[in-house]
Amino acid sequence: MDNNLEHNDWKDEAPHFSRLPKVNPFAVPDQYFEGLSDKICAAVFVDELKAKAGFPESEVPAGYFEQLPDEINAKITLDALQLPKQPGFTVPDGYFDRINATILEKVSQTTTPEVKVTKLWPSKLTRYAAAACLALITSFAVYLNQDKLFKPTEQVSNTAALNEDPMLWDIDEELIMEQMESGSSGITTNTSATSAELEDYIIDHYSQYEIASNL
Amino acid sequence: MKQVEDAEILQKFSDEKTRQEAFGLLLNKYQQKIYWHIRRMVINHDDTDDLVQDVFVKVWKNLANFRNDSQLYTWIYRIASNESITFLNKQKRQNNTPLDEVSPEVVERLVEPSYFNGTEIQLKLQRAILTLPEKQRLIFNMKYFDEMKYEEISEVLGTSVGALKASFHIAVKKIEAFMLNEDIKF
Repeated sequence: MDNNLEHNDWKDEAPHFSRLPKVNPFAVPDQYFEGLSDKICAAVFVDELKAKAGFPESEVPAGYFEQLPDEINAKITLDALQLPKQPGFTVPDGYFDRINATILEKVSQTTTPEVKVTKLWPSKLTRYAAAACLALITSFAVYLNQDKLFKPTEQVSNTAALNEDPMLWDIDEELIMEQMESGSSGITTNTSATSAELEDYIIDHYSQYEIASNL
Repeated sequence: MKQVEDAEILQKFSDEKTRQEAFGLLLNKYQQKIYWHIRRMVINHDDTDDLVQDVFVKVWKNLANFRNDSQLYTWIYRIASNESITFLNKQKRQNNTPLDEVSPEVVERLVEPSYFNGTEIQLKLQRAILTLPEKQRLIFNMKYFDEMKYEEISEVLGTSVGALKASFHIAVKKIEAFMLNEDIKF
């Protein structure tokens, strides 16, 4: 009773409609439902095959489907406008036949010569050989000039010079040493003396007989 | 032919050995109902054929996870309703038809002689039903053609019984007005 009420309570609101027979006006192809189960099972089978084979979803760029309607509409609009395919510009006869040769000719004229690149060090061996030569030359130069580079001390050289001077052989050594010590107190010894000073020194310290015997 | 109980179908489906058999039983029981449910929405037979297959492929994939929080057939109806709505919206987007209008393609297919063999009045009735919004059309079809209870329709659509009653009554009034409009002829 309740079901009938629920299914029929609307009939008072639509008496004309409620009088219409409840008929299904849609048609289906013959034998359709007899084959529908098999069709569905086949669809299930194919779907499982796809899942097992790991067919990836077709990848489309991001936003593709959102833009697609606009693109399609634009194409449809363009087709509808029936715009001429030709742009309307003209070119001289035979232009495209000649253009290739013209371009190639210009390219060959403006081609810059290749710059020959010479390596400073063709190989590592050359580099090492140059370094060895430089070291050899440097050491040879040091060897040749070692006297100048490695000069002995002034006192030692002064003593050697004094020993080699024949004028000083007859002079008392103690006197020479005293003279040297008095000059080594921080003041550089001036071993050079004028002729007048020498003459005065000889006259003061030697007799005439001694001077004459040595002439 | 004795209808198999849903519980038996679910029990057989849970066993891998009897799964295929269970699915066959399910198809025998529901394929025509689902076919007509979809057909009344999309009108075209070929589109309905594709959608029916898609629906049952989804049923096969998800039946193992069916939680019994609704009846089996309302669950299948829900899948079929969603697939139909998705298809119609996709068709509208392709035709640049506003979503709150009926796609002209659907209306044109009503009169295809190969798939419609009703009278002029029946054609007018179908045209009247097509003026309803899609969800309201679903409610009307399930109530008027399938004679489903409001509680069952509520399980399918997730809408309250009160809202369903109101929607159905509004739909009936619209159809009545359409049918009485003598200016609309086919």
